[in-house]
Amino acid sequence: MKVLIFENEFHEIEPIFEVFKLDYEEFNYNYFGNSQSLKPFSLVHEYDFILVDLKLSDKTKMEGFDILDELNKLKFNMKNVAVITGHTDYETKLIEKGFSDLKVIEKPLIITELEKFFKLI
Amino acid sequence: MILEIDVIIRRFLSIIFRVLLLVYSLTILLRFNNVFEWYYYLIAIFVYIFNYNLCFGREGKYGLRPFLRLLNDYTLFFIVLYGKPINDPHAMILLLLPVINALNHSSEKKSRTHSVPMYVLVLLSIYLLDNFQISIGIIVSIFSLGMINLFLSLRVTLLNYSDKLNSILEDYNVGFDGIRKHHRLLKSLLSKFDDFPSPLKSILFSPQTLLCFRVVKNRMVLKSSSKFYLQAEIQNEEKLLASLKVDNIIFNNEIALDGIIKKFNSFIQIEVNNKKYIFLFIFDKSENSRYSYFFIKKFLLGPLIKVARIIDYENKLKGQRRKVLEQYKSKFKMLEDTRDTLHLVKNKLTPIYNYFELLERGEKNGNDYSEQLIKSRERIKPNLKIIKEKSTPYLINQMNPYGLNSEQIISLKKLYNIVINSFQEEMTKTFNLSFGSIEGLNREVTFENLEMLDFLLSEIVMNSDEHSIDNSIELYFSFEKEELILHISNKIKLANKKEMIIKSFNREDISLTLEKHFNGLTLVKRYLLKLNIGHSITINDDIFKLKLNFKTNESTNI
Repeated sequence: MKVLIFENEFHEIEPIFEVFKLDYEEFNYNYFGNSQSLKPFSLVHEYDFILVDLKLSDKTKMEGFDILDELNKLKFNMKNVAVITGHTDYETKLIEKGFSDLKVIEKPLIITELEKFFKLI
Repeated sequence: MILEIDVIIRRFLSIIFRVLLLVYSLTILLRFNNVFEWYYYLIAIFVYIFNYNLCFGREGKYGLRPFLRLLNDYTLFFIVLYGKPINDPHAMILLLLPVINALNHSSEKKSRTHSVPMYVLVLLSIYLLDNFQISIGIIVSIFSLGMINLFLSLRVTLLNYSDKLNSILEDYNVGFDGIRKHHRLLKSLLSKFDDFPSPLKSILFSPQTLLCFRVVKNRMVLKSSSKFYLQAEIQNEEKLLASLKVDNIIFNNEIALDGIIKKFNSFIQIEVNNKKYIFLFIFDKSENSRYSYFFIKKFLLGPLIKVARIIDYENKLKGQRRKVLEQYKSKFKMLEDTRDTLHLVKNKLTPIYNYFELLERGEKNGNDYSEQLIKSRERIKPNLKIIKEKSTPYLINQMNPYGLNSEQIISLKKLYNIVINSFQEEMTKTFNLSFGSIEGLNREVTFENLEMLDFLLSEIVMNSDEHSIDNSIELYFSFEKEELILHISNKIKLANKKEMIIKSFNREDISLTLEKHFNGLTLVKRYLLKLNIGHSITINDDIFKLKLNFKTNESTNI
C-alpha cells in the first residue's frame, strides 16, 4: 500500500508514518511540501491513499483545495483522499467546492485515526 | 403643513367673502331704485348660491372652477347693478371687491391677483353698466389695483416658496445608517426652482444643476451634486476662494464638469461648524444680475445653510462609523490572529500526542519504537517553546482590544444618569429607585473604559431581569466617604447556593467555582475587576444584594 502526503511540515508527523512502515510490511509512503514536486501530477494514480494539508507553503503552485480539484479531474477515488488540517472553518469551503463527503482528519494527527482511514485496522 | 392650513383658511374665507358679497349686494338693492321686481333679485341670489355650491371645492379636471366662480360673481353683480349709478362708489366697489380679495382666492394653483379674466370682467362690467363707456380714470385705477395685487402676490409667492424649500429640508431623513443621500436633497431643491411661477422664474433664477463642495486644505472637494459627475475642475480655484472670502457670492467662474465647460454659474460660500461649504448653481445662460444676487443673498442663503448643516452632519456620522469600524478592524484582526495561533498550536501538538501514543502502542504490541520516540521527543521541546511564545501575547491585557482603552472622567451626575438610564431602558420588570444621602454631585469618577461600564450595567440588568422574583428589584444610591455606593437588590430563588455564591464572588479574583456555576456573575465580576469598582454580595432571606463602590475625585471642571 502506498500513501501520498502533501504537507509542508512533514517532520511533525513523520514518526507516525515510520511506525506504519515498521508495523505494516506493505506500507510505504511519499511526501511533498508543494504540488509541483510531483511531476507529472498524474502520478497520483500510483498511490492508494492521499492526504492533503489544506494550507501548504507559499511556494506551492497549487494550494490544498486546488490539489483536491485536480485529483477530482484526474478521477482519483476521492474516498481514499483525506484532508488534514488544524483549521476549523474548512467545512463551508469544502461544501462550496463540492467535497462535502470528503474525509477530514483534524490535527493533531492521531495514529489510530489514520490507521482506520488507511484500513490497516 | 403651513400650505395645507393656508388652503383650508382660504376656502373658509371664500365662503365668508361670498356672504359679504351677498350682504353688500343687498345694501345696494335696498339703497338704490331697482329695475326688476324684488323676486327676480331673490331668484338671482338663489341661483348664485346654487352655482357657487356647484363650483366650490377642488379645481376640477380642467381647472375651470375658479373662473366659473368668478363668472358667477360678476353675473350677480351685473344683475344687481343694472340700472344703478355705476359711478357711485357704493356701486363701483361691489365690482372691485373680488379684485381686492384676490389674494385670498381659494384656488390651489395660479394666483388670481394677476388673473387677466378677472380684470377683463371688471372693465367689461363697468363698460356695459355705464352705457357702453369707460373713463381713463377707471382704467388707471383698475390697473393700479392690479399692480398692487401683483406685488402682494409676489411677496406671498416668495413666502410660500420659502416654505416649500424648508419643507424639503424638514422631510429629509438623515442617513443614520451611514448611507448618505444628500444628493437627493440637492435634486429636490433644484426641482423646486421649476415650481417657481414662470414669469418670475425666468427673470430671477433657473439653475440646471446644483453642486456642493467642501473646502479642505484650501482645495474645493466635491461632496454632492444633483447630477452625477466624476470630475470637477475649477479654473483659478485659489483666486475664486480668495474672492469668496471677500464676497460670498461669485458669478461665472469657469468650471469643467467631466470635461464640459460650464461658464454660467454662481458660487456661494457658507460656513457651518467652522467648515466652509461652497454651493454651485449651473445655468444655461448668464444669471449674473443684481436680481439673482439679491435672490441668493436674501432668499437662498437660509435653506443652503440648512443643507450644509445636513451634509456636515451626515459626514460626521460617517466619521463616527469609520471610527467604530476601525475598532472592529482591530478586534477582527485580534480574532483572526488568535485563530491562526490556535491552528498553529494544534499543529505543534502532534508530536506530543504521538509520543504518548507510541509509548502506549509499544506497550501493547511489544514493538520497538525507540527511533520514532526519539524523533517525536526531538520535536516536543521546540514545539512547546513555539506554543508558549505564540500564545503568551494574547494573555497580555494590552493586546486585548476589548480591554482597557483611554481613560475617561465623568461627573457623578453623569454616572447617575448612565446607571438609571440603563435600568430604565433595558429592564423589562419594574424597579424601585431610592436615594440615601446625596452629596458630592460635583465630584467626578474616572473609568479606564467607559464602554465596559455599559457592558457591566447591561449584564447586571439582564441578570436581575432574568432571576428576580416579582418586581422586587431595588436600586439604592448613597454617598459615603467619597464613594458613590449603589445597592442593587432583588429576590431570587437560590436553592442552597447562597454560601457558594457569596464565597466565590467576594474574592479578589475569579474563582473556578464562579466560572463553572454562575456565568452571569462571572462576567459581572470580570467587568468589575477591570473597571476597578469595589464590589460585594450579601444574601439574606433570599434577598440578593450586589453592592458597588465607585471611587470619586474632586472636580477638575470637565
